Amino acid sequence: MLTDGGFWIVQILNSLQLSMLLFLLSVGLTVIFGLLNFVNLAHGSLYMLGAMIGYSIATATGSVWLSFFGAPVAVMIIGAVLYKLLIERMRTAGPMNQVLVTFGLIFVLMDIARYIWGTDQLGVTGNIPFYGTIEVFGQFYPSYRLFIIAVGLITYAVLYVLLERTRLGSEVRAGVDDGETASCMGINVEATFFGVFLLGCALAGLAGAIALPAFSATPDMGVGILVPTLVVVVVGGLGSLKGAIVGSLLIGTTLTFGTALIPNFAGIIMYALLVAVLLLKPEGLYPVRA
Amino acid sequence: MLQVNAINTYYGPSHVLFDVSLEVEAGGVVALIGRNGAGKTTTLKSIMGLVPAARGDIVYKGASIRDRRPHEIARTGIAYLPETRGIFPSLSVTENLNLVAGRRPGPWTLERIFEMFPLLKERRATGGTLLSGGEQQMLAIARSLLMNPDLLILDEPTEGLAPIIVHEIRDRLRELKTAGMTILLVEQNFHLVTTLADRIYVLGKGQIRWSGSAEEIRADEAVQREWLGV
Repeated sequence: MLTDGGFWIVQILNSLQLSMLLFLLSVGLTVIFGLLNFVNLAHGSLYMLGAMIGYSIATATGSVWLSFFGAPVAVMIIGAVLYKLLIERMRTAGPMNQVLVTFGLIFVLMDIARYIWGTDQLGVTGNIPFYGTIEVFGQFYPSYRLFIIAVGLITYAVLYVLLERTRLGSEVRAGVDDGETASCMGINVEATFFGVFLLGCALAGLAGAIALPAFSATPDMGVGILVPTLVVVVVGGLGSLKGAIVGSLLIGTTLTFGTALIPNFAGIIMYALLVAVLLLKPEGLYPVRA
Repeated sequence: MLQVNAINTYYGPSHVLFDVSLEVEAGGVVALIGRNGAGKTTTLKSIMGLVPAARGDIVYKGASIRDRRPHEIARTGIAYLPETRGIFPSLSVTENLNLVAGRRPGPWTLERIFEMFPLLKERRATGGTLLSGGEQQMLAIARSLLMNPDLLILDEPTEGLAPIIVHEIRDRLRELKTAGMTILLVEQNFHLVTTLADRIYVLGKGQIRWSGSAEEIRADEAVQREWLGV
């Protein structure tokens, strides 16, 4: 197996694809952590809602493409409601209360999803874009999974330009560095944070919608992805875009190759990596605050 | 231009400012001095809305700003330079400046800033925290000016800096005063304060203990001994 070049190519592509889904999720979470100092454990539930809403849009309209646009918008609206009802009030409530409330929210959203969509595995069939396989270095690989990789990379590029090359991006970075001083520069830090939060929600919804055709959707899918997403955020460093992409690649690769090579240890290898980073660089690989 | 009327400010349960009042007139330079922990920084933070005053009023250009949020207060034309200098480490020199450039119309442009601080132009692509302490303070002052403020509030602009930088900052502040800028200054450097300020307030244990001109405080050794420890 290990001398088979095809095995490595497929596993590398699988790593990349998982990494990009993790990136779409963790980038929103990390910026919310970094900017708002807010621990939103329900971020994974937004991923689940993205998949579920994507399913409804795709089956109702017959267009999977439409679900890639509709689901993020719908999840963003759900995020806005959550922000106004809960998160805004919990801003100064301290991390323990935030963890408890958003942990409870996971179960509330999961039960709402069960009520609406049932507990069966949901999947879309037909009209899936990039259906079929494509030859990559002599290996046949599902084209759709390459599409997921492309969406992740394009999102990273767009966010990089937005954050590093625009004034809005400077305002976000200033707010992460030092919100108090940023407000004294005339920046409405609260409004900036709200916008960033909505963008994070939309990306979580997008991740769910593009994951749906490749996997299947269940109401508890948000719980399974939450832990690796949190690990990415901690390993990469709170609030860091670079940390989110590097952390995602690290965790995605570790999980994929761990499962393929040493299945007995796959469950702990990610935590071993987490512990190693926490011991050597407790502030994460790319900390935003010095 | 700015009237602080008997404000009381708290940090959680602890009462920090007791009926603090002061006035800054347009074109004037006012200094607030006192020992560490006297409440100088808290007074400035109350004016900026960072630590809102619980009682009393803060009137700027005829309107109360006590209950307004910091970014709204900044947009009315008050530039606040915190003791920590507030240079954003993730931003380059130019990005730090562009954050405020063009927000309010006025005489200060990026070109004019680079003329006044040629060193910043040389180092414009450098990350904010890779600058020396003096360079950071120059950048902080430059950024405040670029906000085209009507009132400039400075918290200990010379603290921890080499004498040569202190001289440069003093010269810049004199130029600004001559140009008619209104300044409210917290500063430990007694010599700088008494050569620059038109009016001086002495703060001790959260209350205004004395106010007067530079000549008066130079002559009043009792005040210096009791509240400044000069």
